Amino acid sequence: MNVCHWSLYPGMKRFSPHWTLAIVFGASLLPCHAEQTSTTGAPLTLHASEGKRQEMIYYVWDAGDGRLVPTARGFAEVVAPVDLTWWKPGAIQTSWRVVGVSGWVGDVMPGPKVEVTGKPAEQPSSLVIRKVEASPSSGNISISPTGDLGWNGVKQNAEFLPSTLTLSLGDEGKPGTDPSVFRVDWLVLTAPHGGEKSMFPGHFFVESAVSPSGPWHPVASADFPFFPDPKDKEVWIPLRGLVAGALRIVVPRGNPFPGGGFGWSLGSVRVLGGAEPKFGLVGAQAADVAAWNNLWLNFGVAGNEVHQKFDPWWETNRPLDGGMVCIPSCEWLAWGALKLSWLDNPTLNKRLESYIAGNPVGPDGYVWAAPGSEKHLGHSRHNDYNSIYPMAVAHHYLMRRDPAFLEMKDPTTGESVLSKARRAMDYQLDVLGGREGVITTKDPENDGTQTSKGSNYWDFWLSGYKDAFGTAFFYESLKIMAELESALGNESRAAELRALRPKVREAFNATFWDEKAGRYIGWIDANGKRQDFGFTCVNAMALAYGLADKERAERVLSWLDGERTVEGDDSTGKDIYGLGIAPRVNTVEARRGTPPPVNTWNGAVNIEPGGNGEFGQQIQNGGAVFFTSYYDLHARQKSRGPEGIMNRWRGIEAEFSKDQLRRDPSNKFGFCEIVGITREFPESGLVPYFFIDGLMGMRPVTKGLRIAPQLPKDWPSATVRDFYFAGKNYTITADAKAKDPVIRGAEITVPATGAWLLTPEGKVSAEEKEAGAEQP
Amino acid sequence: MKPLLSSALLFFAAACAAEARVVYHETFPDFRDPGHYTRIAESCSDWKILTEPDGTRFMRVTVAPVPGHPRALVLWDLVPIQFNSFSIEVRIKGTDGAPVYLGSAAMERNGSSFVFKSFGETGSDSKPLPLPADGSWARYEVSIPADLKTIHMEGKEVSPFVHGIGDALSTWEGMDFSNRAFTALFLHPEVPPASPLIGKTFTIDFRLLELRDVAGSSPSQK
Repeated sequence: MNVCHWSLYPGMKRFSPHWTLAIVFGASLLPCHAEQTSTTGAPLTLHASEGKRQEMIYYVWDAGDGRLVPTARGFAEVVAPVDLTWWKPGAIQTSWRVVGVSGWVGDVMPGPKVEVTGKPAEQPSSLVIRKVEASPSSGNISISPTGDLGWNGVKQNAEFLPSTLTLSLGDEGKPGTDPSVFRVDWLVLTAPHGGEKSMFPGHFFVESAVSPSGPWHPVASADFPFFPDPKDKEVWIPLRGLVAGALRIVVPRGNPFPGGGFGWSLGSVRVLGGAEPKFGLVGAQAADVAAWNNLWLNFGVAGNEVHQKFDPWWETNRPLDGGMVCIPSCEWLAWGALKLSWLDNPTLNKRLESYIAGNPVGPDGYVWAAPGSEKHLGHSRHNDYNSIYPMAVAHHYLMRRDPAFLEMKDPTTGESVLSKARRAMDYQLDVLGGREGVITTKDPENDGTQTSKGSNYWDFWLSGYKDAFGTAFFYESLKIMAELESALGNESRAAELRALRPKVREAFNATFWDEKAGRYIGWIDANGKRQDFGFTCVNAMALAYGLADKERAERVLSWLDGERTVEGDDSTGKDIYGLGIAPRVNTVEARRGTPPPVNTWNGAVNIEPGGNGEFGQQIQNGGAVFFTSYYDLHARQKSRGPEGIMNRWRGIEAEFSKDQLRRDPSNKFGFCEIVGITREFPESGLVPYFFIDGLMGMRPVTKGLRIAPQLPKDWPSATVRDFYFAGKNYTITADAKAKDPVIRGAEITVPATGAWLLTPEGKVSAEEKEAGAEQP
Repeated sequence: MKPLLSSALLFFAAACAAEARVVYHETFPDFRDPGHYTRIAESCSDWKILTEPDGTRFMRVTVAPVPGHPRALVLWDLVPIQFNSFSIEVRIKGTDGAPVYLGSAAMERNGSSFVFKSFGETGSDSKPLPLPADGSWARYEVSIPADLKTIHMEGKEVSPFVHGIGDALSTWEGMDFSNRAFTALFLHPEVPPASPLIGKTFTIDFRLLELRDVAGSSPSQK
């Protein structure tokens, strides 16, 4: 995490977390105009690059079969991919043209010739559009079953008067009932038939909503200024599994009519999709289903985001900043494994594996930030990398069960991934004091004192020496590495790691619990100074990982919920969750420290009242980071059971329904440093991942995939689709009505109570509890 | 002959006139959260979107200049976009006739900043004019490079988090202004250091920001 992304005016440029990685990971793809082959129904990735313009551009691909497929916007100099699918066999000549956001349109360029083979496949099915409404109203609009519109279009007397066409997908909606939501994959538009082709909107974007009454949310990737006249071709706009009950086409600028006035029209509109959404919930409101799925779409796989480098592993600057997949630095690798390992997406997972394989582990066992950079941003060692790395390796392997991954070689040293993970664990045990139960860093740069530099993700704080965040990670890394070692037959090592966990738990509580405050502190520096600023994430993690007993967990939660005020706290009561998305990072102002144990980056961050880093104006000083909610939900579920999450989920869903969390508000200094959701916070995608390892209780263990559902009573059944485990795709349902597990091909249903085990071979059984085994 | 000549001249003039394509037109529509792309800073205390009786929406910024900080900043984050002219309409209220000036700058995608002539500044030796104090809208228009005052080249990295201000250029002869995309537009309401408005507040309204690309300015224009 970067505490301050700002530069001095006028060079106002947010700092990229990738600066150490750009050379190492810079992709170098070239457009290919050679003949390519594809199979019916399967996507083929093609590439285009305009290469010269400084401004943002997008591409419009002609798929050669009557379809135009536009990409999202991005930088011209980057090679842009597009996934095209054909459903009929035959020879296809593709082409593309570029459109600059200032209205420049390039020549039609030849794309690859594609030989599509295979039997004809079914196109995505059309959803029923139950109602079409225009604003401003232009009389009755009819729509045929095939999407043909009976509509005269919009005509206004000014160019820049916005107008909309709303498509209702859900039920008409009776009062008091929720409309339905659907998975939508494509929006297909045509120009008016036989009429004036220039009526097709020259600038339009797509919005979605749970219901036609809104609130409406822009689909970031579907904004097309200066769209070329499609003439008689269909415009296929990818929506990639968006879950919505209504879509809206917004036209901010009308086309000039020869006879005066401005407007636009369409010949037909179709919405393709209708498959079940990735996350299904019986009994839930439509808004809940939409929120779980679209949180994942936006912040998990970042499917409909603008990626300025046409790459979801890189951040995008304001005003188009949104979700991203991951950051290829060790700080994010374990979170990246959680997000990606369950996906049947070879491209994403091969890339994750290459980053894991390429992340250096020094001769001493210390895990580096990234290739070429021992320290985070070249600034400080984060010793929690030694927990993160083995967690990433173990989780990824146990989820996918591919031995070749563990044997992947470091491109520099030739060392295997497994060997590096083991040495990383050894370093925790032998150098960082893990065998004594508390991660302790004695390096003066990481000793937690005023002259140190910080030791973990929270790089504003000078945490170090005995570090609670790092120890919580260590505790979790022992667990998952023990599962890995056991899966590999190394039972003695697994037993050694498991045996340490009770000791760590005891030491964690003895070291970091503050009885008076009723919460865990952040760290104890090398001088013995205990640093407690009401660190909410540390406490949520401690509860989520099972480090707290029930009594302590309740004390922590009563503080977080504002039911209990801790003396000296600046944020109390409802203010703790005042930013909505998550608790404030800290409840005591950094300036209360004597001296404040923070890194001001040579004064660039001023934490005093009126300063740019004053409490509430800076992410790590009174601000909030969305991913904390992942640990917060787990903390509540672990401590209070399935119902314990609902208040927080309602809060998150309410925030999401406002703007889909596409927000990066500016503080009063113009710095967008209040909340961490978009851009370099791919960990935001952990919150919807709670559906998998929280609600469904699915996590990989030695013998397979443990499924221990924790469904609130209002949601008696939950389903995850396209869940990749051990080489197979499953649809897994937890159902309160089920009494026994049922397997139908790749569809598995387990009872919503108890714990179940899906083996790598695809068998399901009740989890056997081994004598003395720790509750996973 | 005279009418014919006149018509011919008119035709010639029209053919030679640069056609300006509007590439961005800000109406503060209710379907976009202005917080996504606008920011205030430096002696601004509040902003909101309001609607005129005729339906025109505008942004009202409360400026609160304090000693040492007589200049405010209203910032538009832009999708990197190419333009070579922009205009905006501005209105001040609550100044009791005290002068308020308006300057501007734009940041290029490569990190350099273009500082433009202030409102009313027409020639190289002319001085900025205060915005009308009678509550009327004033139009502020800038062309690139004609209205450039300074170019700050991209600054060197001072630390991983801080970029300094680069060398300032006061001449740009021979510089190629085609194919330059901007990522932010800065508008600077400013009062003199000894202004009676120091320590007080006034409002400044903005509407109809328009970015334009004059056809032919881009070598690859099609």
